[in-house]
Amino acid sequence: MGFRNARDRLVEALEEGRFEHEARKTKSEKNLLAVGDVSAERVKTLLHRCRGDQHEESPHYWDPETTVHEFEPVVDGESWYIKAYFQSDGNTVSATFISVHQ
Amino acid sequence: MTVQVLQAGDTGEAICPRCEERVSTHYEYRTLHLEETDVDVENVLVGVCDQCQETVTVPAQSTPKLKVARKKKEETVEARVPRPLEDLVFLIADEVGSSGVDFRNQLVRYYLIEIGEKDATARRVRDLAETGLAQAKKDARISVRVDADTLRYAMQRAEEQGVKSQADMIRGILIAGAQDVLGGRATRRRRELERIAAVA
Repeated sequence: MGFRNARDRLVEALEEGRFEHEARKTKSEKNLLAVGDVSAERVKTLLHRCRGDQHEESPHYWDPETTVHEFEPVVDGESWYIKAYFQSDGNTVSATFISVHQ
Repeated sequence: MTVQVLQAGDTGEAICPRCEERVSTHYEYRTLHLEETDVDVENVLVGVCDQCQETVTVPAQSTPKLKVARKKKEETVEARVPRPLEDLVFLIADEVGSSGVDFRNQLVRYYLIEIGEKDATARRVRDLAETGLAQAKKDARISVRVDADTLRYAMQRAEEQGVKSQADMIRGILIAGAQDVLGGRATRRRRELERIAAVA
């Protein structure tokens, strides 16, 4: 997909509210977006500050056809980790966040 | 920012960690246990694997409920008090028409919020904590449950006004409650505590 495309789609999903979270990292409170410690607006900012060399993509462990995107921006001295993948139901693309934390 | 609003019965897709594959899901309301905060949050809309019924996703619309539950995490505060002070707690509850332990929690919470908002209340609690009644032999123990954030903030403001400890703050609060409720006058605080007791 490429860095810019992935980042832009993730930002769009955040803006339009088309996202959810994997339950495991929500229950362990390691996904700070899922539990409300950081806002969608903040995650958008982090993504916008991310450089191409701070992005990686790889196949999902259990579904190789799904690409997982990892963003590791450093903003104001803080290192962040954002991991998510996309899914489509044909017309609509939504995002599933696996992790959002420092 | 907008939020996509889902309803129970809506369908979706997710990768299930138990089935270890992509699965179809349906949304339903369940209780979600937050492990670090150690709190059960009821009625959270979640995505459920159609194959194994595992909770696999949490939609964005459920986040505010989780956020509130984490903030409302309660702490148990214990303070050693003189027996007469323990008696006063029961007298206060009886006077406002409540008998439940929950009113005790609400009483303390009421004054913690006041301390957080008004330095004058913090100073009053400080002074009452130094009275003979508060400083008498502490041969009883009071335990109350209050939300952690309210307690922390009130303690911070109380310390700024010279309150020496959490136990002192609690003792001062109980005497303040006794003065306001048992003093014989229909003060604003008494009326507010009566309203609280009515729903406690």
